[in-house]
Amino acid sequence: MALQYTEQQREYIHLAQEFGDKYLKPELISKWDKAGECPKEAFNPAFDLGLHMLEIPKEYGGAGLSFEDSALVFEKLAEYDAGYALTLITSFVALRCVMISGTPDQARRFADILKPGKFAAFTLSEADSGSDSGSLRDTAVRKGNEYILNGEKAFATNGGVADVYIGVFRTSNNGNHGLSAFMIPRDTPGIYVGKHEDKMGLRLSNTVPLFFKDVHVPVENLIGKEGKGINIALNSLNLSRAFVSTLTVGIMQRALDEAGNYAVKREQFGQPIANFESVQNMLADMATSVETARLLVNNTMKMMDKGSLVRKEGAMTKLFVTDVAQKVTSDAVQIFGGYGYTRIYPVEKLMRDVKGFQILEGTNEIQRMTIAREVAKEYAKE
Amino acid sequence: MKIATIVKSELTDPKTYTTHRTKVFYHPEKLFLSDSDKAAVELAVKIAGNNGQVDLFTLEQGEVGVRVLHEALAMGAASATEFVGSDPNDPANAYLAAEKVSEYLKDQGYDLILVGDVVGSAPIAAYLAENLGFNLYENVTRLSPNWEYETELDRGQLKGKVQTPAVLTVEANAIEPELPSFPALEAAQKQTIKSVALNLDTEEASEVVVNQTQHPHVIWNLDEEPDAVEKLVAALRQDGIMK
Ligand SMILES: Cc1cc2nc3c(=O)[nH]c(=O)nc-3n(C[C@H](O)[C@H](O)[C@H](O)COP(=O)(O)OP(=O)(O)OC[C@H]3O[C@@H](n4cnc5c(N)ncnc54)[C@H](O)[C@@H]3O)c2cc1C
Repeated sequence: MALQYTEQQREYIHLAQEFGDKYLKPELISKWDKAGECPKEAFNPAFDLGLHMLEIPKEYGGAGLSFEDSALVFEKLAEYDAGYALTLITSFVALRCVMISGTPDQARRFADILKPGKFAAFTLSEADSGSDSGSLRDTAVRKGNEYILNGEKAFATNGGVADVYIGVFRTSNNGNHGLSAFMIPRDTPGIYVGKHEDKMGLRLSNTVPLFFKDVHVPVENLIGKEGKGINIALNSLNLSRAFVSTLTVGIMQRALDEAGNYAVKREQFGQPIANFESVQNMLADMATSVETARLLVNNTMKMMDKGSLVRKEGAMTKLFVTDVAQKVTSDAVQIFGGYGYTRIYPVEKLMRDVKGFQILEGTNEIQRMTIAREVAKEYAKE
Repeated sequence: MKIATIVKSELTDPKTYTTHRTKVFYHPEKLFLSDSDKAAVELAVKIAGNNGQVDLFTLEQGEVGVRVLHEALAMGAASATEFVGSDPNDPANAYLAAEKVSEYLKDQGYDLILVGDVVGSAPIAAYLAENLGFNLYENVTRLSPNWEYETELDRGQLKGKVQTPAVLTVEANAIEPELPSFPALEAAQKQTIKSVALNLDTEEASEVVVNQTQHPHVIWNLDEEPDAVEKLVAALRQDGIMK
């Protein structure tokens, strides 16, 4: 293990492991994966442990763990199921918008909704506006002390289970500068939840389209200033895309554990397949990828704990970690041979789950563009 | 109601023992609160309720001691104390350690002392009961708030009523412990742990003298040395072990 944990971190990881062993048993995960959804009650034990408030500061009723410590906990949970872990951390994406750009009162109101055991969702994407989020068309029109929201959002993680949303809507036709972010309680009249997407992986995570029909939101629910919505969203996304990479490390670790255990037991040509050089090479590359990915995530988390917005490093972390994870999970299936390609073993699921991370929170192509832009800026300064 | 619970670690995964020839390495980072101690702490916290108090003690040393105390504190105990000394966990020191621990606990007014039942924990419970003059109940699998208890025997169960003050060894299946929350664990990590020195070193240690004859080879390899068995027999004869 390249990363040297502190004694406190070991205790946190151990508790996460005990949680996983007790509540995320393989047969349940497999059942929920097949069904394509996870019952809301399955998150009650996570609420009891405070996992949904882990990195939320204490003054807002959270556990106040650092990004670094929280990431290690969620990495461990993702070893059991990344979709389950994603459901819990998606609330942070929404809450961070309020923490970074909202007022303390808004942050408190938001945290108070989550505290008793509720979820939040962050909804930016639309059917025709994904990577190009500045082109989104859903509108928010001010009338007196209210904004009236209309439109359709796509791919809202937690959309069907959340009690509060952060949504980005168009308040003027000024391109990227015409967008604003709002805090929207789920029970506001006019919100309709669409059909749960039948996804390839991360099937325990709820992903839905959301429909807004004349939804009235008070002006107090505008986050930051009007027209700053895209900056607010991106500031939160910079942190979140680094943070979700920790789930990918968990998936990789699980893939390595499964493949390693199988390789020393499965015999062909009268000996364990782990004796064959090509299998050894795969295991060596997998182990190296897990360690380097974990170190990169850990370093970015440390930067975030120091207050950095990690615009470049967050993108680099997501790009590197989620790209190497594709090979790691694919090699795990390879080591299992034909059995790996079936649902008898969990490795095919890891491969399905991990693909989502190259797309969500901004595709890896877009991450490359962000990194290139930041790098060019640095050299232009010199 | 004042309850003391003596907690210790157990390897979460026995595979994490590694052997190199005759040496056994264990990985201290893999040692966490044993399942039966978790049950003991949970039982203690439940029985103590809102009016009672649960104090934790451990003979584990260093980071493992601190870790098991953190885990148990997070489950709802009030205070934690580590007994430090020269390996009081060593079975050879068990009686002496128990005597010192009893001395320390003697006048503190405990009604119950709970000890998780893992291999090797029975002697300390028995010594404590003997030194403190407490009743001893071993292998407890159930304890109700009105002090009725059950123990699992080879052929059936033994039921009765606990007469306090008492020492109980608790089985892992006595109660299903609830996992502590992360905020509770975080608070436990910040709580002060009291250290009490047991001064086991001041006692006279018995000396064991072993006379060893040095042999040029101590390991014979049957694959490479066809006469390995003869060589071994000759060495054993030389030492007078075989006639
Ligand atoms: C599981 C999952 C969960 C999600 N959760 C949320 C959520 O909670 N909230 C939310 O708002 N959104 C969410 N999304 C949406 C996600 O952010 C978008 O899918 C993503 O940003 C890509 O947008 P798109 O799907 O419209 O693809 P497109 O933007 O249409 O991209 C299609 C392809 O073209 C490439 N491409 C596009 N533009 C460029 C360019 N300029 N240069 C090079 N390549 C380019 C992309 O990289 C991609 O390969 C989620 C998506 C998934 C799969």
